Amino acid sequence: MVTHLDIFGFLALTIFALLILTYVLVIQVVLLRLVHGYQEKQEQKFISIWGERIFNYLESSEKPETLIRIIRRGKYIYLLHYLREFFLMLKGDDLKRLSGLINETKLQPFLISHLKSGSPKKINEAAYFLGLAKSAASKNILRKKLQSQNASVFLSSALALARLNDVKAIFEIFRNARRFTFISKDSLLTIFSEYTDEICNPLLENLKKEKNALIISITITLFRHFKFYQAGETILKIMVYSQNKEVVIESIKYFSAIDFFEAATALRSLINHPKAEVRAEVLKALAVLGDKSFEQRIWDRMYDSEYEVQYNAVTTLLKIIPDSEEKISTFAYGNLNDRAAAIARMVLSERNIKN
Amino acid sequence: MIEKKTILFAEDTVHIAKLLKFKLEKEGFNLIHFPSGVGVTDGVIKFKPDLVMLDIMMPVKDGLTVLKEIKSNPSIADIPVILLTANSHEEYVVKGLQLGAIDYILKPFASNEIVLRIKNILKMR
Repeated sequence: MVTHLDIFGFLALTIFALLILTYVLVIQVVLLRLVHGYQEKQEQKFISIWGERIFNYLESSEKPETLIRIIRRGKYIYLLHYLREFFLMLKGDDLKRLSGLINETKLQPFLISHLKSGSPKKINEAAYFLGLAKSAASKNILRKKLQSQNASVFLSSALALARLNDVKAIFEIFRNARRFTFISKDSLLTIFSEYTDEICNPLLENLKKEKNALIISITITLFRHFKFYQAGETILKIMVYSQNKEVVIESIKYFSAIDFFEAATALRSLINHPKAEVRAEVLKALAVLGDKSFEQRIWDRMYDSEYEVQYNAVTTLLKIIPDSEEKISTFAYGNLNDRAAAIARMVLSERNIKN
Repeated sequence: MIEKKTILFAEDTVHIAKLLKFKLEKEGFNLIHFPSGVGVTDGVIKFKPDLVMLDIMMPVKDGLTVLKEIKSNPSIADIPVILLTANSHEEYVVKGLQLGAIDYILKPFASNEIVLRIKNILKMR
């Protein structure tokens, strides 16, 4: 039989356990703050001693090893934290001198040892600096890290390889990225856009046989980013046969970005595509690639069921048909209760075109 | 004795500001640094620098707002203003030039390039 005493005893024990837990947590927070505060002070002290010395190094011809030799290994991490901002903000000779501090000194083996460690935090930090410094010596280890089960390690290694412009790694990055379902297209684009346009040719060769819609879509986006004209014919074939909305939209954006007029006829057939986003994108592209021969089809889209399509139909007509302003104005102000006319009036007023 | 030229600049990235200060002081300029856009216009009125350099993206008050204030005040409107901005914010450059900035520098930058641009602008005036 449960007595009052048992219940009170249980409650007292629970409260006691909670108090202990709170106490431990408070101690932990206090300790973390103390450690963090100490490290911050150390970092400030480091900067006050070495800041100007590093500036002098940047504009001199002093050997990087001469500077690094006199900094204690235990302080390397403060130095790296300090250099982070400069790596991101400087270019040209400044960046070369900064990279020399890593690539031509003991900092490189220090970072590579971190890269080989089992700690994701250390690996990510090392990959970050080795990538920024374009440390060729770290390429092979970074490639191995692409196979890591840890998503952050995969991402930091991929980013470093991209900054190193390691073209051979692109397909390994694609292959390994598929293991992490939560890695977004945007994350991969951020990585690949760190490469130079040297990746375009191998990507084009791969595109001709690639079946994965995400990879196709990323590849086309990258071609648009690099303004890589040579992929026009291949992408045109892909767009015509693709059932994937993303792939079709990326293809249309690509044609528009590189002024690929050969795609105009294919775009005509997509103007009635079942997906509204595609129809809207076609109209935007026709504003660049279209001509008078598209006029009637674009007028038809002013009666589309989707606002975005109707809006783009009006803006495209205004752009590609020389005398459309008057015609649209007559339509817009002659049909006051019509939805298409209301959208036309809105576009005209946005452009300060009065009746 | 040649009078030192004064540059007033607003840059919120602490270490970069220190580097610019170091570099330009070595070139013989007087430097006045503001860590944000706050108080910059008053600073320009007070110190009447030979040149102003503004980072566009700054918290509280951005570089374009400061530029607008400088250019709308007749007593300081003719002081040349250079804008500093990240590559990814190039669209602000056009706006800045329309507002009256004389030049712009994109980040990442080479520190020698900044020194040269500043010298050229000051030479032309």
